[in-house]
Amino acid sequence: MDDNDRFERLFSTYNKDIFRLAYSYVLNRHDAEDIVQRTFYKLYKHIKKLSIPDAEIKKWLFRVASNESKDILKSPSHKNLKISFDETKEVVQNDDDFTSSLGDVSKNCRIALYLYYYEGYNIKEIAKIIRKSESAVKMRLSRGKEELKMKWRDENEKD
Amino acid sequence: MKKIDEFYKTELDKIDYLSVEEEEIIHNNIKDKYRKNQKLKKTVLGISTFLLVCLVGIGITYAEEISDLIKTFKLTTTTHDNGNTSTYAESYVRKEVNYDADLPEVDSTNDGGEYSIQELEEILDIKILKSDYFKNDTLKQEITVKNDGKIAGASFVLKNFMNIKKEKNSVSDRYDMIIGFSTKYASDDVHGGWGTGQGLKVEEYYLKNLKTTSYILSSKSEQNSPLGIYHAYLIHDNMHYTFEFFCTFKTVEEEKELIKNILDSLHY
Repeated sequence: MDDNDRFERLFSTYNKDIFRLAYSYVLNRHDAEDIVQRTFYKLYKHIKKLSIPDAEIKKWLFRVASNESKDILKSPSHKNLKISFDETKEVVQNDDDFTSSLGDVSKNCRIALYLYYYEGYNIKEIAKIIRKSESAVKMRLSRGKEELKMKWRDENEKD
Repeated sequence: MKKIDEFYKTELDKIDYLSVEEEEIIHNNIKDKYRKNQKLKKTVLGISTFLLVCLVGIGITYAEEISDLIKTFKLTTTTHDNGNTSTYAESYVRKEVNYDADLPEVDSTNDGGEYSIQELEEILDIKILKSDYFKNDTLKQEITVKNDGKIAGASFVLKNFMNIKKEKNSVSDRYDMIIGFSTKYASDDVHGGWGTGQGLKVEEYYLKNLKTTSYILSSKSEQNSPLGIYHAYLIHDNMHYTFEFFCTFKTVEEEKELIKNILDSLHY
């Protein structure tokens, strides 16, 4: 299998996972698409050097996507966009159920929560993916769970 | 806990994934961008011999080192409706190290090296706390992150530092120490921390030698349980130290005394 075929296969296997991770962090579709593109561009550029098994490639992609997600929210263009979003916050929230449900979870905790709950990685694996100490991951999970629990309770009370 | 797990997944499953058309557009964009970049690279290489390249030093002003302001954990405690509390701690400290130290980057795709405490002190130009309880001094490199070639953060583990031999088919005590730091090159504001679930008590224990407070967390809920798992966290000289204690067949008092003795024995 040549590099091109390998890229095609990895793209079709993992693009949804990367999209979901990105969405869980940036909470909007446009940026999540951008992150998928940036992440897989890096894979395409480095595919020759990445002679590691697919499961490890997936972790590598998660790490790149997590960095790209943080970068995109820090970018000046995004900050300008945020001002205009804030002005129309009501409209944005009504348009996007997901944003309004999980937007209250701190940004710092979102990726750890995603990797833990959705992907089923353990704390050690998450620490390696996001390159933080295990104690930092534990803190993020703890804090994220608390915030999620409050949201979950609100939702239950509504029902 | 399971319900929250399901709630989270259900919320995430509300996302409309990329359609086949959108996937195709992204896929084509990636290949186009790569081709254009390759072309651009060739062009730049071709004309670069005729150009005088001026390097302009870009002054990067780093934010004032937060470590000067906050030298320990910032604790947040939440009291829940059922009266239980939970705590999480964040740390903003940044360590000054030899940012150009000869340490390879380590993450999930590769294994780190092993260093003695003294070797690591020399490589990073730092001091690491030691104890007379340490019967081995081999630190395994867990994570090392670099930004633009500069060390941004790292963590190392001193496994089974009392060299307790495990008997076959039995459980035995095990004590590990994890050290970690983030530097001014780290990209996040929060550089470390820990958290507890509901009802877990955090005990503050002041270390006179080091003039710092450590936080001891216990997972032991029953006095007579044969197993006790404890974590102790402290920050000293802008380094994070985490101790994991897996104790067997001891009373809570014996376990805590041992942990406190180990913490009290720390020195440079």
